[in-house]
Amino acid sequence: MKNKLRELRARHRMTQDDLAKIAKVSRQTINAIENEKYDPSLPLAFSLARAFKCKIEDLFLQ
Amino acid sequence: MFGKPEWFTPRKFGWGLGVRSWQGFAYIAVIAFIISAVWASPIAKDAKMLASIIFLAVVALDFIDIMRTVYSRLDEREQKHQLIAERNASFVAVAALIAYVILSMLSNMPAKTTPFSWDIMWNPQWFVLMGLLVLMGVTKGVTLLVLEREN
Repeated sequence: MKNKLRELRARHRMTQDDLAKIAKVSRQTINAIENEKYDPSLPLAFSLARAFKCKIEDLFLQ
Repeated sequence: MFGKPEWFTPRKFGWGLGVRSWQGFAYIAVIAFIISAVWASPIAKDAKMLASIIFLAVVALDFIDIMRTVYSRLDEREQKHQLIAERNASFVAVAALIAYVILSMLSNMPAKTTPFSWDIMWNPQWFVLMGLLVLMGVTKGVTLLVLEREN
């Protein structure tokens, strides 16, 4: 699934490790989502959207 | 209790825990040292055996507690990988067992050992069981490596 995770993370000056700690997942999982290799579950997608204070549909595109 | 989950990591090949830091190696070394010290001490053999069993039971409980914590800390992606790896290992085990039973039937070899007999300890079919466990462990490890690279 396409997403703007990397873009938003850069805008918020966060490292993958920072975001991983906020979302309570491993850094490798953040990397896999950014590279569109892994589609997160709905709770994780909400958690990531909450980290950037945006809507889930602004973060994940079809 | 004694060991910390941070010292260990889930094993890729096989089951249980792998060592992650020097503290993990130190933990194992201390256990080995205590067991050696018990057996080197000038106490009766029965007392040594009892002390070893009690100590190893405590270590086993600690190990189970660490393993539970380490595996519960895996995130959703890692848990999914573990489940897929376990499933593949089970598929391989079932396929290997079916192949073994078919081969046993073809060669008129008894596929079942006699239960409740000490002869079971010397049965060559233990090697089949060990081979099966190794095969499952390798399948699990290879699956995890592939999933980590691709997913």
